[in-house]
Amino acid sequence: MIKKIVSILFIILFFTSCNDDFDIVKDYHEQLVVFLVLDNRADKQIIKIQKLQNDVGLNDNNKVLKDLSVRLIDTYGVAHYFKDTVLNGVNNFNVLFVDSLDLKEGTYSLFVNSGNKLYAWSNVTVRAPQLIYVSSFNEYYKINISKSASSRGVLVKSFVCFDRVDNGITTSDMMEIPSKFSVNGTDTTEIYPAVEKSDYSENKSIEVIIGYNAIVYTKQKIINRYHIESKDIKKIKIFSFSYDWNLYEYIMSYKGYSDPYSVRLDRPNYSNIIFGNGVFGAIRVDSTEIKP
Amino acid sequence: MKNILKILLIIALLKVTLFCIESNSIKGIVKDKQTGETIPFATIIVENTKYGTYANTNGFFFIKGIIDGKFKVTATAVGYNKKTIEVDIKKGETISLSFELEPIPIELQGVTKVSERMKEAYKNEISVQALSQQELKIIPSTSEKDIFKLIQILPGVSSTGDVTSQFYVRGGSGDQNMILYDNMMIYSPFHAFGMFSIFNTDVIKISEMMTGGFSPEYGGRLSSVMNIISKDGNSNKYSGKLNIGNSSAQALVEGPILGGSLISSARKSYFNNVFEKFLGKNIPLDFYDINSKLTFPIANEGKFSFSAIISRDNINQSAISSPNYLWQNAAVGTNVQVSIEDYYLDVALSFSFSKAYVDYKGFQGRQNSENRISNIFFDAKAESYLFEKDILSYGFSFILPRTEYSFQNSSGLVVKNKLDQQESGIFVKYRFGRIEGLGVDVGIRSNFEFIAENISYAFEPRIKVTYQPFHFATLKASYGRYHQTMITTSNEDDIIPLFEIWLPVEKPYYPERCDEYIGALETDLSDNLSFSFQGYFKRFTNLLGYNLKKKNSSDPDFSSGTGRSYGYEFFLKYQDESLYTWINYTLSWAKRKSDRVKYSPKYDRRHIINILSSYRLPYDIHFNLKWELASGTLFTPVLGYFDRLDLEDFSSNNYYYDTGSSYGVLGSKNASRLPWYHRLDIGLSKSLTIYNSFALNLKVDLINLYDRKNIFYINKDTGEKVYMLPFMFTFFVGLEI
Repeated sequence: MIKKIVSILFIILFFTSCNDDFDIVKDYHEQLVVFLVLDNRADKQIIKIQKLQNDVGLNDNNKVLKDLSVRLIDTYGVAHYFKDTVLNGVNNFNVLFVDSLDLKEGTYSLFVNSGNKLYAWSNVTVRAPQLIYVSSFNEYYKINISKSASSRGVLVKSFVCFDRVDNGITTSDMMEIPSKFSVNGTDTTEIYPAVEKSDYSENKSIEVIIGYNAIVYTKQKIINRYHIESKDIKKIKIFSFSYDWNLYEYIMSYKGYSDPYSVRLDRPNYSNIIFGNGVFGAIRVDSTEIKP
Repeated sequence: MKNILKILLIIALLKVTLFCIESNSIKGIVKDKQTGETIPFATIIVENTKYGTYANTNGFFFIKGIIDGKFKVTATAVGYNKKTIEVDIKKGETISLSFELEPIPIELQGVTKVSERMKEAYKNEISVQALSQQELKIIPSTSEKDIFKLIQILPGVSSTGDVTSQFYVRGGSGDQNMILYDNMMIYSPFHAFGMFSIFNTDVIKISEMMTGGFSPEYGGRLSSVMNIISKDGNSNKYSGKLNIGNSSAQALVEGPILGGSLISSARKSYFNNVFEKFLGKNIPLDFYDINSKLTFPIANEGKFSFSAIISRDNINQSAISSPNYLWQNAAVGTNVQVSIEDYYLDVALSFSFSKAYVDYKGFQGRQNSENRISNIFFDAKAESYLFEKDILSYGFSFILPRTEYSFQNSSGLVVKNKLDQQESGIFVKYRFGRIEGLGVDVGIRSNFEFIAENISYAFEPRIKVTYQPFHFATLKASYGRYHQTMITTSNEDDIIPLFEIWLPVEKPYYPERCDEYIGALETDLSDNLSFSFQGYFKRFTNLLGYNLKKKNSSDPDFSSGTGRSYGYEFFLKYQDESLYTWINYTLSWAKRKSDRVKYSPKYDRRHIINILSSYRLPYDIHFNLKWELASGTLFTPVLGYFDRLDLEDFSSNNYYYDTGSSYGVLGSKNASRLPWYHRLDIGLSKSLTIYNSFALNLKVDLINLYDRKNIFYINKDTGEKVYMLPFMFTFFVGLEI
């Protein structure tokens, strides 16, 4: 019987000790990965392009493409061609730009080709400027922003602007004002505004409150950190970032459903690039200033 | 509450008026003479008559409808000498008997025959596997003998890896399994990372694993009920055990106390190198558990018991950036089982508590996470013995769970919640057994759930039919409807869920529901060889899962979906004096549909073959073997990789210079399957009597003998493959007094 057991074990060992060759990547096809966010503030609109890879950790040379052709059709049907450029430290993407682009409200179309092999395209809607109104009350400022109807996500950030001296050189800087904060001894908790969903269909005003105590708290933080005087604190700058539908969806998928009541841990992917990956979005940034 | 009591009163009156025909009865209890421990599934026959029955899991039996006269009543249980008691029974009399059987020390025969005895005792059940202490002994183990590891190789049960003891039954998810330990409901019965259960196998008397066809007394879970009953302890003399394994040491004491018995077992980990092999990195994991039970006999073959189970797992890491973890379980419960006239009453009250805590040590301002569930469970049921083998059962239960959780989500916000729920159930079941070869169980269960001023009601019909056309073959079929109101939020894609939160199902969702159909054939091919086949179909509705289409924070986290699972299970068992072997094969499918997305859960393993064998070699050495072959688990394939950019903050131009981080683009959910899983474990065990009552138990196991590299998971962003257990040598030394 012992011989039988040994024989059976030997046979099992012989037939089963091999290990399978296995790859997690399935149905790989070469694709373009495109990141372009049209920004009304930018002198140059920068696009970053990469090739979808069939493995991780590939050399940067395997991620970039040759023979790229990128054109943007504006809302009047005029084609703008992107040119190659270089960004310091960015070697894993092809970087191209187009300048002197006066962004107008309307739809823009993007077409990307790599030789005759790969192509991708997408559309985005650029919104009209937003109007920002500031009202002062006893304990806070109330900011009203007239939001564009097509805006999907809104983020309002406020900063305390100040001058500081480094090695004898005066530079202008900003520190963000938290939307909420608490101080418990040396323990401080600060919460900053995050992108919020805004209703897609309604053209309504957004209201944001900036408490004076949050401004005082930030000013004190600046004074403590940079050892400057109160007079060096110049102004408060308020920015309104309006994200189009695609950019908002991309950000939400990148953050992974981070909402206050979410308990899910998975991380989804969003892309509006047809035949490719990445995102083609638009952001409208408007700002105003107040004296503290 | 008043309505439930009224209904129970009506059932009792109905029973008295319709069925209470005066007849002679014999009832009693079967015990081990040496330890005083009750013997489950002993056979009791009234010689030279057709009367006979099997003792239940508490050793209690009841035979009704015996004619007047003098009879010899014999109790037999394999591993014990039989005992006969003469009785003279008169009209309308009920005689109480107590059988104390002398044990025969035969090791392997114990495994063989105990399982045979169970098979007979469960002949009216469907999809029930009763697992004995003896079967636990033969299974090769990686570090701890574990009841869950034995369950994972039963037909219809699948798992997703060597590291986790989580199991999935017939296409159901992990939270659809009810775990009862001495009638206490245990929500998180795992030691850290789910490597093994918190139940100490040495104190387990019997475990019933129900993979379907649940009787109406069980409610609240869709896929399985695991009912673990612990030993009462030696009521005649003091004895003890000391076990040393390669990862933990364990001590057990038992003996008489205050007219009753006590059994208590404690286990403590002391080595981390085993965990290193399990988890691939050195983790300072430390755990202990204590299982205790006090039992006192009371009148009328009854007993009163008090059980407690405590477990705690810690990971304390020195680095400030590495969080500390704590998992805790505690449960206490009392149980009264008593026979009054022709009723058998079983009443249980318990409190159980489970907690998980992550201490981030304030690193980067992160808030600590905590979740806890506490539960009060009251369960009362009665069995009333009617004509010959007809039994009327009825009862009710109350479950009062409270869930609390607090954690910081990925956007830095602290999420806190506390939810209270009340659930009550009432059931009635009639077992029709008076026709030889035919058994019919018809029952109904009603559940009421109260949460946040909302009441939901569920109605659950259950039916089970067994028919024995030939003495060697039995046909079985069942239908049952089940509901579940407590679910976990664990993400199916989590490799090892560390922070599972139990939540009640609230409006606008409805309790999860399952309709289950089972057909089975059980046959004895020879004296030594038996074969069974089961086919099942389950239809799930209101299944709560993650909202696969969620895009915005305002979109709901969960969505209600449907599912179905079906499969075939084949089970072949051979047993003789020296060889005990079973082979099972499961062919199954599990499917889900949620938000118009169709997919199969990752534990949908198409083919599973398990072989468990124990052979007695010369010198009473046992050679044990376990081989598992299974289709790989499902996973979502990667279509390709790219460097993903964070585009949230446009306050500055820094986003232009972002080079991104590697990201795998996922294909269709669970559309690919990992390679076949297979693993061979072998072991040798030997018991030596050193001096009088001193025994030494030795066990060595070789795990993953041919060092198969089974893939545990693949990191989707880095492509790194993480493998399951490599080849391992484990040992176990036990001293028994």
